[in-house]
Amino acid sequence: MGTITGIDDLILRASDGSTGNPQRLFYYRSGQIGGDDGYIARKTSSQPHSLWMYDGVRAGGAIPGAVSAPTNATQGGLLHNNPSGGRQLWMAAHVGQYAHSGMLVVYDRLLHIGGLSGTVTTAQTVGGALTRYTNGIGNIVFAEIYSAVGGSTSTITGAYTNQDGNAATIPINSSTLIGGSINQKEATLVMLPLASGDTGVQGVTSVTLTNTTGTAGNWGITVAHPIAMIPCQPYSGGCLLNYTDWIPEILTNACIGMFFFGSYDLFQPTSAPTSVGNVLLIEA
Amino acid sequence: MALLTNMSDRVSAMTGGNVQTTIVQKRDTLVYIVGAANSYWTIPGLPGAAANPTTVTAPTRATLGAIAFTNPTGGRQKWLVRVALGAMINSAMGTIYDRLLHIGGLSGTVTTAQTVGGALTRYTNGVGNLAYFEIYTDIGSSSVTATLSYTNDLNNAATATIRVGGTDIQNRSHIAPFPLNAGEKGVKAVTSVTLSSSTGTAGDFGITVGHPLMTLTYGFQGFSEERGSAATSTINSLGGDVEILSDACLAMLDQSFSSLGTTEHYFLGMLNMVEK
Repeated sequence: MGTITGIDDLILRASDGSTGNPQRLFYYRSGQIGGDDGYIARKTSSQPHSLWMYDGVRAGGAIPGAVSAPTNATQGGLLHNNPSGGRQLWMAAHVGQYAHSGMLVVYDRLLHIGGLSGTVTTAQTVGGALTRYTNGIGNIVFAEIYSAVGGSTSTITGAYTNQDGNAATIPINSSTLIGGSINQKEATLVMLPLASGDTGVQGVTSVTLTNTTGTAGNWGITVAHPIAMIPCQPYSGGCLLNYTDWIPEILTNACIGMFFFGSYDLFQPTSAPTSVGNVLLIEA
Repeated sequence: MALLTNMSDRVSAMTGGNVQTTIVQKRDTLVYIVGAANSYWTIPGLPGAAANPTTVTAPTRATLGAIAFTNPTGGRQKWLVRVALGAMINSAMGTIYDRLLHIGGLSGTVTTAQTVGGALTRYTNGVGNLAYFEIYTDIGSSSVTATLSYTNDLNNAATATIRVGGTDIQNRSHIAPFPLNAGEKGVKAVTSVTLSSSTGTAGDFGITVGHPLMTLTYGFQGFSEERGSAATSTINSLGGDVEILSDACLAMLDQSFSSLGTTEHYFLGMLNMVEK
C-alpha cells in the first residue's frame, strides 16, 4: 500500500518530491455539446446531469456504441497518467467553480453502452465485463440520455448481477422514470436504484422500458464507482475538496468522469452551464 | 480507543487501506411541513427501501434499508470522517443516525397504551439516544397528544409528549423526536406510547430509538423564487470525526425550515469512513 504518511508527506509529494509525480488536471465544460446551443434545450431537468459529452478541455466524450469498458485513455474522462513504479494514485485536491449550487460527483466510469432506444419495450441487452471494482461493491448504475427520447413518461427496469453474484432486478419506482417533461433531454442522468439489500453491481444484463417514450432517441447504461462527492456553492465557496476532506484512490486505468446534481434551472440561459476545475493527483 | 490523533494521522488513515465510500440516493414524493422532519427509512433508492417495521426489533447494518458499510477488522474502530449531502431542499438540517430499535404497526385510532418494549444492543446506557414518533402510513387529520413512557439514562421511568396528527405530523415518512425532561441525557428503553384520542385514521406509525451521529445544514443556496433548488452541505474534520459502532444501522432524516415549492424530494449523499 502507498500510504501518504501525513501532511508533510502530502505536501512534499504535491511539490514533486518523494516520487509524488503530481498531475494537475485542468478541465473545462462549456455547457454545449458538439458546439450546439443547448442551454434552453436541456433546462427542464431536475435530474443529475452527466458531464460526459460537454465540450471543453478534458471533455467531449463520444456517445458510446457497443458496450465497452472505458479507461484513462478514453475521451470524456480526465485523461490522467497511471501511477508508475508500483505506486498508487491519490486524488489530493479538487478546486472548481460551477454555474450553480449543487453536488459534483466524481466517479470511475467502469462500463458504458449507448444506442438504446426510447421506443423499444423488449429487453435491450447491456452485457460487457468490468475491469475495475469487479467485486461490484459500491458500484452504481445510471441511465444516460445521449439524444432526446420522447415526451411520454416511461419507466426503466432491468436485470443485473449484484455484489454477491446473484441475479437481481432494478425495482420500478419514482427514481426510474425516463422520457416525459423531466427525463427527456440529452445529458440527463437517471440514477437507478438497486434491490433492497444490494450494495453494488457486478454487471447489467439488460434493461427494459415499460412503454415507449414516443421517440427512439439514444440512451445508454453506465456502471460507475463513485470516488468523491463535492458540494459546489458558486456564490460563496466554490467546489472544493482537499486533504482535510477525503483522499480517494484512483485505480490504474480509471476513467474519471463527473456528473452534477444541481437545481431545476441549472441549464438556463441566465445561468451559463459552464464549469471549470483543477484536480491534483499524487502518487505514493 | 484508536483515536485519530491529528490531521497527519487522519491523512494516513485515509490512504492506508480499510477505507470505505458509500453513496446514498433517495427520491420520492413526500408531504412537507415546515419544521417537521422526514425519515428516509422506507424511501426507495440507494440503499433500497426498508420494509415497514412490525414487531419491535433492534436493526443492524444487515437490515434492509440500512446504509451499507463493513464492520472494522483487526481490532480497529470505524470512523466517519466526512459526509457530503445535496438535496432539492432549502434551509434544512440533515442527520445521520444509528437506528437502534424500532417498531411499527401501531394505530392512530387506538387510545389505550400501545406496547413498545424491546432492548437496545448499542448505546445501551441511553446517553444521547432519542425516541422518535415515525409514520409509515398516513394517520388521521385530528391533532392529538402522544405520550411516551420510557426509561431515561438515569434508569428512571419518565414520560414525554408531542402533538401528532392534523397539521403537526400526519403523513408517511414524517418523524418527530420526543423531548427529554430536565436532567435527562437520553432514552434507554421505551415501554409504550398512548394517544390522547383518535386521529381519525389508523394508518401505521411506530416508535424509533435512534442515536444521532452527525448533522449537516443545507444552506439557502437558491433565490427565493427558485423553489426546489439544490442546497448542499458537507462536513469534514472541522465537524469532528464520529465513531461508527460495529453493526450500526446507519440511516438518515432531514428537517426543513423553509416552505418548499415541490413535494418531490431528491437527495444525494456520500459517506467516507476510515479504520484505525
